[in-house]
Amino acid sequence: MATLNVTCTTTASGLTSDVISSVVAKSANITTGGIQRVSITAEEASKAVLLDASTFPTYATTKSTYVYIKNAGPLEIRLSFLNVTANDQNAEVSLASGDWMLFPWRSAIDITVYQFGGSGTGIVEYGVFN
Amino acid sequence: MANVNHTLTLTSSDLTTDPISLTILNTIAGATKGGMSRIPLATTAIAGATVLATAAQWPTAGAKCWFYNPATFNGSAATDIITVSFDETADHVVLKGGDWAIIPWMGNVNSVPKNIEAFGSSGAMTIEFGIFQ
Repeated sequence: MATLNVTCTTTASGLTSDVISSVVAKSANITTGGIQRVSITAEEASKAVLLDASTFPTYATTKSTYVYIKNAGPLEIRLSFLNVTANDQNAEVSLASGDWMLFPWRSAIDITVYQFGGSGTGIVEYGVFN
Repeated sequence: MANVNHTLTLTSSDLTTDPISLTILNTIAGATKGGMSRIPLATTAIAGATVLATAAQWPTAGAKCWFYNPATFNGSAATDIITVSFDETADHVVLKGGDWAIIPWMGNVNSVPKNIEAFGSSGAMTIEFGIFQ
């Protein structure tokens, strides 16, 4: 058993009359995970599977699976992560170059990825922790 | 206009032989709208779920959503869970007590407007929600 600490700090000055300064930390017991980078050349017509749901533990109310994804390449990438199997842009999110996201994943449906609006080689950094 | 900074710090000293220590900053430069608030959830099902953000207000790419479930984690009792839907229909992201998420969003992906909605697994739950663009 290991411990994963994930903290999000949000700050904004000048957006609202009250300066925003928020820190939220989560500490979770985990047994598997790590961070790695992969290169992708996939485009919309041939999306690549970034995370194969069948290789991760089934969703349970007792434990979350945390997914971190960063777009480390030059082009926008789009990801399907909303537990939707259809080829549907409404079920995708967009990560601009350098942007990241973190969320608890239900690990029911694969997460696919492709480069949007261009071709070439992109880089995706990701981590899955359970 | 303002800069909104989200910093992720992810650490684990005992998961792998090489300790994990990651810090990443993301800045929304020139943000003009947004904020954070706690919102009571009206239902325990997607029908009648509470709207957190409307597609009409946030139609274009570049918005960043922050979700936090301030409830105390209670495991198998499962009365601490908040479910978020990005299409007003399906269960997409599940936040157990103490969980948080940051997810980019645009309300009109593929020109189909969809609100963000949420509901709790038990009555009288509250979500902390932020959105910035």
